[in-house]
Amino acid sequence: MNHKNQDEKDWLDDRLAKSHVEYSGNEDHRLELRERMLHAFDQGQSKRSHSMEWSTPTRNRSIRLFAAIAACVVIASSIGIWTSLEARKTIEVRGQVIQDAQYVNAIEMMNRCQDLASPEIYFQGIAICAPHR
Amino acid sequence: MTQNGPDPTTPQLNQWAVTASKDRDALGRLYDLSYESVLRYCIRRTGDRSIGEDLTSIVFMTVAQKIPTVSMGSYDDFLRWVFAFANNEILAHFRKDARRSVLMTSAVAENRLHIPSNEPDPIDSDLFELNKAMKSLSEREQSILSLRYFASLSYEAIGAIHCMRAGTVRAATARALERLRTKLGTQL
Repeated sequence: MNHKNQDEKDWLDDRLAKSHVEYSGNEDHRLELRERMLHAFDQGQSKRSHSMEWSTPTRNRSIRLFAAIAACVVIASSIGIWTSLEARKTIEVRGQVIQDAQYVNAIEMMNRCQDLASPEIYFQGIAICAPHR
Repeated sequence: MTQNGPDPTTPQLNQWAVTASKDRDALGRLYDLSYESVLRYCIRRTGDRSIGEDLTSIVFMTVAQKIPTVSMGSYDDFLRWVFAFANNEILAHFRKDARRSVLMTSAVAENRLHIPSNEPDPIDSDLFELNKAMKSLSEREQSILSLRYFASLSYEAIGAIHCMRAGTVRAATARALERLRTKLGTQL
């Protein structure tokens, strides 16, 4: 604190020193508050450390939750795989998705013929198959 | 001088502030060092010793509850934090007091309550005048003067408590002192 500040403090202190208000600490209050504060701190610490422990019911709950989530993941994956396998059974012809197994078989047969390179025959085959759907 | 020996060095103080969130001993040492200035600040602001003690108790109990969740880098951080609590508690006290005052005034007006005249005792007149002069300053000015001169906080620390720049705090302090001098000069 520089000289000017000290003067200002002295001036204010001088004014307030005449007051009947005591500002020095009361030892009883200081000690009692110290004890209460540290007790509250200890209690807080103990609560926190207790909450960090994994009690048996909590652990069991967590295991059950984990098992349920794992089961959901397995089921979802299975459905996904099955769906994608099913999707492979469809064939897209000129922008149309064809799912009919019989129809698909007919096209596959056509695919296997040597004239597959000719689009005309390919689409004629489709035209033949179409009325039977 | 602390309760148990010589003044601690700044690195020691900073170390206690850093570890106080987990170490009760460090917290106790910080308490020993700051109790007096917090109490003095609360008494100066409220003008009442018992209210000052009550507010100081609230402040340190809040500190005990919240310190485990706070990370501090230095003793200055700790002081800023504690005085910010003290300031909030004092403002809350003033708000409650204002509400009580309205109730008391209406009770007296309706003749439900008699309050003896509170003419100051001649012995207390100087304190009365001083408190009156202090009360004529704004809440912020009262707080700044108390923090600066009775809690010995730096302008930076006061600025952090009041969300002001250190230079602004310095200017506000000078203005508040000047106004206080003028008030007291005209009253006496």
